[in-house]
Amino acid sequence: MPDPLLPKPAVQPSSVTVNGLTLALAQTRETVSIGPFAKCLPDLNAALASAFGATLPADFSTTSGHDGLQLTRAAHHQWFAHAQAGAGLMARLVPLCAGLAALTNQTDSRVTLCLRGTGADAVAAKLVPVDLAPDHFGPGSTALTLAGHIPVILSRPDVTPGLDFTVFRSFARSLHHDIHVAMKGGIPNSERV
Amino acid sequence: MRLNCPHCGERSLEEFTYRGDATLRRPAADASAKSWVDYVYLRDNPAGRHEEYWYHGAGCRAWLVVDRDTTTHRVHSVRAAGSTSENTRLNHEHA
Ligand SMILES: [Zn+2]
Repeated sequence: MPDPLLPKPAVQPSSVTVNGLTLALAQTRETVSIGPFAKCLPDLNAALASAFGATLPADFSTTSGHDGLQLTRAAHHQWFAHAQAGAGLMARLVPLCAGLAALTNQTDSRVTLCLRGTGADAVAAKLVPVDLAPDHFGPGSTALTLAGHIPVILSRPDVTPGLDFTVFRSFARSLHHDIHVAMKGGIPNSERV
Repeated sequence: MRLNCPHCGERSLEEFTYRGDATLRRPAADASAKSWVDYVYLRDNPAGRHEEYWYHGAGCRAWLVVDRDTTTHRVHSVRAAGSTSENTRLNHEHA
């Protein structure tokens, strides 16, 4: 008989701390991917603006709207809408995006690992090739990149030192291990100022 | 070398894979064998500006058309393959 499907966290323990740096599994949020149909982007943005006061960011960044909605550019011509658990995001988006975009529930497909603390950039820089300098990758920035060999959506949520790695759930344990090892390796001397 | 991806911004060369000549056009099904041999096997090695396909595997995973000078390595433009500008150009060439 097959094992029953049991809800389990994507990584355990859900938070680890090394030398003042913390790596924690983010609370699960409702996530819906939005893929606009051809030539529908203006109408879609108008609909989102009227309902949530936010439009799909044209660059790789995250914007916030009403009711805790966040819109992140997640790929070429694809965006993620996030809202806290229980927000009923899909039910709100379906009538709004009818005929304008393909919607897919991504809530269980990705998880976000949050690296927080002084030196988070130096640790992340061991794994990702993008320039994390504050003037280049400031609060609200997002980048599609690789962390080691694992595709991630990297983002800097706000001004507190830290980065979020959003990753396919099936890669979460590998990525968690890689970041944990990078944390234990410490801050490179070249990054100490 | 760095490429300014229209989706991701300026990224280093290691993130991209060269995917060949972007100026090749598939011959008509009834074209001569010579045209097909040319299309399938023969490649020019131009000195100067040339359009190439590059794949942004470590970023947006999109195919791009890079207009690059093979003698100076100056990159004149990078655009999404299949973008309006490319289709416009193709239609123009075929007109
Ligand atoms: Zn790109």
